[in-house]
Amino acid sequence: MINITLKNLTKVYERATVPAVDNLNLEIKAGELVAFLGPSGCGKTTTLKMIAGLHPVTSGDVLFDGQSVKHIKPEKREVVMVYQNYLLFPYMSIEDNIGFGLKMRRMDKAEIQQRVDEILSLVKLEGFGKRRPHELSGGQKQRVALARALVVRPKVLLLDEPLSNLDAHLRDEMRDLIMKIYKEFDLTIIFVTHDQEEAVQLADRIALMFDGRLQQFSPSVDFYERPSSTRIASFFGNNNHLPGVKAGDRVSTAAGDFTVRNSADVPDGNVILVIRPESVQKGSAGENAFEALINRRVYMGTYTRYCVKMGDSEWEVIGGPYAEDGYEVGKSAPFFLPSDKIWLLPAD
Amino acid sequence: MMDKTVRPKAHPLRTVIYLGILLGVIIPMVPQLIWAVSHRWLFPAVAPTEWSLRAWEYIANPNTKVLGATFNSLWIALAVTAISILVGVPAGKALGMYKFRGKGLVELIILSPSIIPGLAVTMGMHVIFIRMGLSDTMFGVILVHLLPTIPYMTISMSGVFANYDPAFEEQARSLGANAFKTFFLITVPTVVPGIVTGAMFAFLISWGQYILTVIIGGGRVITLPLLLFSFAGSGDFPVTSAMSIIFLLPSIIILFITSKFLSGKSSAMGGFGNL
Repeated sequence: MINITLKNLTKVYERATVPAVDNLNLEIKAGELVAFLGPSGCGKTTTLKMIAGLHPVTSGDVLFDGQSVKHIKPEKREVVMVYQNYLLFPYMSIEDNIGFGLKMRRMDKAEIQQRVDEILSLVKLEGFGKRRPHELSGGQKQRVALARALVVRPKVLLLDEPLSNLDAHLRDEMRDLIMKIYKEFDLTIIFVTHDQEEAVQLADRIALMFDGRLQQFSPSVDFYERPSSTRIASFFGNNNHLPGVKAGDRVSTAAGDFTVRNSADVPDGNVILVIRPESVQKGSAGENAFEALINRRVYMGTYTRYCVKMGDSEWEVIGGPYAEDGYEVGKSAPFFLPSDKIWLLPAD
Repeated sequence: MMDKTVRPKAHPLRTVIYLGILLGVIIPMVPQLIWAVSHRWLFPAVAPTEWSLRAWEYIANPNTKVLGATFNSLWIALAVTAISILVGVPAGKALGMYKFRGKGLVELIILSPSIIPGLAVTMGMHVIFIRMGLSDTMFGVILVHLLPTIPYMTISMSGVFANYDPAFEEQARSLGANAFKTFFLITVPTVVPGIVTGAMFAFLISWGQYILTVIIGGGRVITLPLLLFSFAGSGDFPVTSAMSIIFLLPSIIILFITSKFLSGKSSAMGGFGNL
């Protein structure tokens, strides 16, 4: 287990005008499971490859346990990367694929065989050793790719979109397998994904990247409760934003004045009020009560989704599943905002 | 139960195809094999009435042109193959792996020798070759043979490289292979079967070339197909048959080698087996 520090890490590809990764600074603790999250092209895979040593660093540094690894070749870093499309060597059997890394380490044949068999049973592919990659399903190939990486007992495991090529039920299985591996092996794991649900479900902490820049690096709950920009809130499915003016613990907006708490560090002046769709309450029995016009409502079975007019924008409200609540489209209805659930961002 | 590799049952069509090959390819060759060792085989007789190795003695005699023509064919074909590899592999890599401006045009230019009849092009080339002193020379013949082989090599290599993912090399590095091992254990096995297959067909295209050799060689560069053609008209069946056996030999050898390379499901790599 090692900790990984990225220091002013920058990557500019040849002939590119904007950097793919721009001055990235973050520290991953030893034994942590971290997700690099962001839309495609945000630089997350490039960052992963720089950690693996597969892409040269333009400027800045990658440190393992405080030591720069910039000049250590990929095969010496004890970091193994697992690719999205598995990349099993097609002309080798499953056994030979898994044993490849051990063979490169000049381990003797009997020991390789033993470790390969062990790892095959861990990924529940006993008896598949003699097969060829093309005879396996996608999920099985993914497990072989994971086994091939783990068998060399790396200190860091890098996973590029580990779940995105799998069907929904295989995805659950793979998620469980990754968690099991994470607990059983002493590993620092970094995985890349564009899907915020995957990141939330797997990672201890998420590093969100947009356009090559780190936006926020924190436990997943913070992205919902304490996003550091409206863009981040939107990426996590929260589009309930409303501009206002803050004075003390009051914010006045086009949809009314609200009392806020937990926002002493936001200076008075122009702000943006953010609240999760699940935190807006129906009824008038609480603080910050107001009336809003209902534009749409969709009954979802386990909950009901309302779209309500808030000033110039439209908010989403997730309410109880009760279909007959009198919150009809085209009518104004009472809502309230619990003051501790309101998150304020300085307006820019 | 899990240990067994599931093998698809032989398709019934397979038997039909094998029979077709037997009837269409192998059986017509049988009379040639017999003719090559016979002296007299007149119409009603089922088998030759007199046997002899005269045809083979004729071929082996250095005073006849047969051996010389065979070696001419061989050297020309080998040179053509080597140049095709040198040009076709990088060109195929560029077409298969990279996007660049004017790629469509380059592809069209490479394909054009196969679209325009070779004869028409060669007629024009002949005039230029005469002016440059290349006609009637072995070198000129080699150059004209490149006309069909380079496009062939380039196109087949672009297919190999289009399927080639350089991330395989990264994966090997990440698993602990150094650059040297990665090249020999990953890059070479992925690309070489394609190169070998393409090269063998380039060899065959040159080996079997008649019309281009006649025009540019002007009857001075004698290759096996040229000699075979003139013997076929002469009515000397034993010598013609013996020569056509020699002529067929590379095709048969290459067919066997390539069928090994081309078996296996994943592109051209099946034949390499375990590494």
